[in-house]
Amino acid sequence: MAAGTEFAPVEAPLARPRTLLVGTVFATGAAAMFFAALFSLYFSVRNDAIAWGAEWFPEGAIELKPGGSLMSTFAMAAVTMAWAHNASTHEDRIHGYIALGLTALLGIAAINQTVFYLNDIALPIDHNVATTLLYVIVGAHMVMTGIAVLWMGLVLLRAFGGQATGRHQDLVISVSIFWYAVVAVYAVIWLFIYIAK
Amino acid sequence: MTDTPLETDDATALERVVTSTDANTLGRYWIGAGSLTLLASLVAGVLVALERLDLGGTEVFGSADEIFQFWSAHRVGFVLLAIVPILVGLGTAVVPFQVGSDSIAFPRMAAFSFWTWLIGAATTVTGFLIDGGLGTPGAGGQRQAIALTLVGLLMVIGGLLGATVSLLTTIVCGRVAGLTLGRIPLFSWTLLVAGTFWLLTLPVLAANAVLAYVDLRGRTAVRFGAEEAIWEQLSWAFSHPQVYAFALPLVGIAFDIAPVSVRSRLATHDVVLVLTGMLGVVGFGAYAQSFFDTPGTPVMNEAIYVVGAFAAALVVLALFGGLVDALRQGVAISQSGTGNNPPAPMILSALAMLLLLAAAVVGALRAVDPFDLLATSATGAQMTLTMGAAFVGAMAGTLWWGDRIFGRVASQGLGLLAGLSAVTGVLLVGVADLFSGFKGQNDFTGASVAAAGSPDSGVDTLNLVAMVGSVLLLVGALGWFANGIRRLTGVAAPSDPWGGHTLEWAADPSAVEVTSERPLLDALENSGKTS
Amino acid sequence: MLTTGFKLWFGIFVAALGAAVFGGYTSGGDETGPISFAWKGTVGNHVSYGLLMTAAAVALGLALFSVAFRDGDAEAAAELLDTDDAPPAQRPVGGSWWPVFAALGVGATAVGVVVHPAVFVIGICAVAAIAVEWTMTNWSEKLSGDDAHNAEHREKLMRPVEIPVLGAAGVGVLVLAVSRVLLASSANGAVVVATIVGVVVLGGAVLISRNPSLPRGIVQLVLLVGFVAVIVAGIVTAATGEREFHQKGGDTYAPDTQSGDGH
Repeated sequence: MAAGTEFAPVEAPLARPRTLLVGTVFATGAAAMFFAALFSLYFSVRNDAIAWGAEWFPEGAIELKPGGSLMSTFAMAAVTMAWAHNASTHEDRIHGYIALGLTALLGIAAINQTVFYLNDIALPIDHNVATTLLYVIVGAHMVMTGIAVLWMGLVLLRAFGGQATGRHQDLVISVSIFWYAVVAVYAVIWLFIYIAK
Repeated sequence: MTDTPLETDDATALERVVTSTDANTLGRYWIGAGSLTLLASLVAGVLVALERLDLGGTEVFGSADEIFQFWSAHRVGFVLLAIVPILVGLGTAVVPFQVGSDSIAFPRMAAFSFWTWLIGAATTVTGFLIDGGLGTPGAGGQRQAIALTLVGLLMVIGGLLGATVSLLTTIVCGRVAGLTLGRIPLFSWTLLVAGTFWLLTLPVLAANAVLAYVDLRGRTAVRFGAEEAIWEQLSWAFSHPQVYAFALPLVGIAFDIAPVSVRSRLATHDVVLVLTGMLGVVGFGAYAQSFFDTPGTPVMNEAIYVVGAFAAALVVLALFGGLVDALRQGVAISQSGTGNNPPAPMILSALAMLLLLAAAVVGALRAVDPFDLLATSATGAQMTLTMGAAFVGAMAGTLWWGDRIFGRVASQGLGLLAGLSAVTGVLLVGVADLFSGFKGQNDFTGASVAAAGSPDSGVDTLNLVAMVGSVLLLVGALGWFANGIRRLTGVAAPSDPWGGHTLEWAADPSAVEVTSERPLLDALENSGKTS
Repeated sequence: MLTTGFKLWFGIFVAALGAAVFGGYTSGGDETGPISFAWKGTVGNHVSYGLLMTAAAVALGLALFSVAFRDGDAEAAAELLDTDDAPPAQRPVGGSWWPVFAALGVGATAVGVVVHPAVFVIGICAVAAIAVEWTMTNWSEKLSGDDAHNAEHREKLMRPVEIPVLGAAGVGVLVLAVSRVLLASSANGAVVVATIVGVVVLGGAVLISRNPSLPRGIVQLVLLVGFVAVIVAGIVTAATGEREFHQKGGDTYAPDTQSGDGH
């Protein structure tokens, strides 16, 4: 038993590359369609409401600054994720840890900021169709961010076990693809809901 | 608590059942669980058909809302709890064999997807049974139970999506050398196309369900969670054209069976690749959400919907023509290869394509504005014909690949009889509901004579025919299920009962050189030349 | 060379894009809306336009990935790894408890959203814990080509964490579920339920201990059925709500959960 733990008897067999990556691309595409549906419904209902002269969000309910600050957080997180990707490509373990850890931290910060923002907006969910859609879209995005952060945590766990090397960079690239989708979805929320209202 | 390294060690039977990540076993689970929910959904369908015999009152159920709950349960059950899972199961079991992979990609995720779907299906069914469901026209359901149904539906969608990702990744990344995407068997190809569209549309259904759920759970539902509005937001997934995307793998089943049955190559392989891609495109139904119609421009009257409906009919017609042409190219063989009787799967898969053609024609007729069929029972007819076609295709698929999946022989005669019963049932329901639609009967009649159109229109007789069809469909499903049970105790199956052309029939796929879409036929022909 | 996968997904991209623009015009869009992503002008039906456009974008992404990876062909993988033959995309992994436990966790989370916040929290915790376990299993499988060696490494690392955490979680879930049953029962009923449950647990344990040759599968099945029964009873009674409590002095305490909406 002890001998078994001290010597790896056989080298781990090679795995076909890009399998995880391909799976992630399919899953991310599905996530994109989920948000596309919510945005499409949002634009449709908003268009009808405005055409009928109905109120969408109450005047002044959504301030711009928290949304912009949140966008900055996500933009920074996109850069740190690119850093993590680059580090894994170059088998730079220390930078990989730092970059992934920072990205996860920024993700948690983004969730925190979103909660603050929703408290700041302070509209009841059943105020009108606009607020219902707002909470559903922002809430779903928070869940997506949470899943990405959890995933990053798991990749970090494996990285600490020695598997964020170039041979296993599929792990980091996969989580980065999903993370970029998280950032992209937020960009749409920021532009078309928080700014354009 | 740790994983068992191998499934053949000292694990107990219970451990082996719940911990399996083997694609073939998971495929059997999907098919088994899907067939049980299929029977349940068909029983609901028969009850609703019985109720429709008396349009003026409630005979079977207590109220119009209760009828609606069973009516919608039948549709959701038929599509997402039965036919799609059965096709996913068939794919999970067969695709790794077809591409020469030892396992499905992400086997643990594939197992997780099955269990999530199963728990979701149980939750959904529970929600329907405790006075919930997906809303009711009279807002008479229990909100808590409706919420439960919606989260169950979300789990069902999540499970199906996870299984689809596993399947697609296996097709893309798991192929052996030489087997390019253009050479994969057509069942795998149609799963690749259908899976792409499931990934593009099921999340949209999930988004609809989440929106309805959140609004329902608010203090006052503002719009999306209002009980009378929930079904209307989700109904696009259970009607034309989305059902084509769900039923698409049946085309692959038919085109995999036909050339082997008649011992010939499929000359139009590349054309079928393109046509199935086109059928997938016209089956993208998430856009057709009438609940969100802009005033004055109902989506189902828009040009895109009408063009799509006619394009679907033309594509299915071309595919059907291709299948007939393929069958004409060779001589039918029996299962043993000694007689001239066409094998049961070939007959059933051809009939499934015929049903799909009938569905596409109904879909096209439905889109013709002067017929005014959009809100009528023609909608149900089109759904039953399409998903019924997929069911008959799945029956053919399980008869064809069943020996490979289960390792035991089933009765081809009983399978054929069950299939013919199902085909007859689907046709009766489809034709009767189409004609009822022409006579003005609404898609959901409830306990209302008014919903059946003009008095003395004759829909009573047509509803009787539809009821008989529902019973025959149920009998067919029961026969198929019984045949499956018999298979479990049948004699050991030969490794290649049909003289197959593709890798799933190879004893050792890694030893087969793949230079075309029919590597085993190539090997046979080459050995014939050398000898 | 354009691969088959690229042709498939690029074809879907072209078809979806064309359908979006066509639908955008024919559903009431103006001249520029459908070709400017509705930035300049209108598109008519927003739902169909938005969904078809996104479907087109996703299909384009798949097409580009596909051509970049040469459809994931085995030959491309072998070239990338600089080997003669491509290794299998996936080796069989054997039995695993994590999928079924993770599904139960997801189920608890989903049902908890409707039924009771405590069930939701338990579900979330279960999913997070299983995600870590699952990851460690995947990690250990890449250590070497020897399954036994890998499993041993994994157990050595995780057992000291698993056993206390699982024990505490199991006790916590049982306490929570049984307490919901007792709170929902009448005052005398709670005594009866507690007595019956106690007798069943003790009697079952005595029976099992007196039959050491009892197959492991049967013991597992009995424990599983008992555990599921307690959980289901807990969920159902949590949804039903607690009984009315008569305080000293005559006040009646009726918890909010009796309204049944789960808030």
